[in-house]
Amino acid sequence: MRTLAPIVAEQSDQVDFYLVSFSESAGTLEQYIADNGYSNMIATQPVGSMLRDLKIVSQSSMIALDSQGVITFRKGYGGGGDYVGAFQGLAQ
Amino acid sequence: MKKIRIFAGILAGTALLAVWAACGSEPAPATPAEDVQTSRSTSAATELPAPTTGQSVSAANSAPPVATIETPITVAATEPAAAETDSPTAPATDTPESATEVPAPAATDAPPAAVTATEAPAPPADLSTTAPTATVSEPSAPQGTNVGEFPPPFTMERADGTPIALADITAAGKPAFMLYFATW
Repeated sequence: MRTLAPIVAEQSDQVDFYLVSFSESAGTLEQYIADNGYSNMIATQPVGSMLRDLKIVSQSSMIALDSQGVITFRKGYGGGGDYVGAFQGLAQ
Repeated sequence: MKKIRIFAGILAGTALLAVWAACGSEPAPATPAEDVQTSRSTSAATELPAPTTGQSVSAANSAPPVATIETPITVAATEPAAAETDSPTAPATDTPESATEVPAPAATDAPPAAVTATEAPAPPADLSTTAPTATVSEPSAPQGTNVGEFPPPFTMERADGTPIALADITAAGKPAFMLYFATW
């Protein structure tokens, strides 16, 4: 989160960043974002079977979608991968 | 003086006899050439109701004694008639009727060619116009949860209750990055 926060603040006009919490409400998450100075992050919580449909089985999972909605990057907890590069790739 | 008058009278009488013989006996003095011409004129009159042939028939009936006048009219009437009846095989003549008859078969042959020309290019035109719009509206990627696939529809909710669906993200045309996390 600390690594992504400055990049998200830089390129928020080109990429929407959604912070999805499946243990806290969106209100609590929004307060957390404000307390830590993470700007331009959209606090959300899943609705319905979103986590099961997208096969989110671990925390710190990341999914990147291009402008047409196609998945361009996916990473689970401890799965490695250059998520910073994936985010910057979306902005270009 | 009397002899001269008598001689003149004889000459006049013989001249009248000659004229009477020429006018009164139609079939007898007719030559084989005239027979051919008259047969042509009658055949043309039966086949064609054109006014030119009517004139030739009336001229032939009204002035039979003058054979020299009859022949040019019948010849002029028979030549167009042959051009009309035998238009596909007849050679091109200078008459206007034959000129008008020549384009007729070309006009009848034109519609089938035009129909085939309009039917042939129509299907490719429709396919070329529909194909690009379909690819633009929907991505061609298969549905799934892996890289390169289109995810199944999902919905998340903001703190104020505003729903955000996958359709909203794709409609905005802006890339999205989702981080799922939990606290404990």
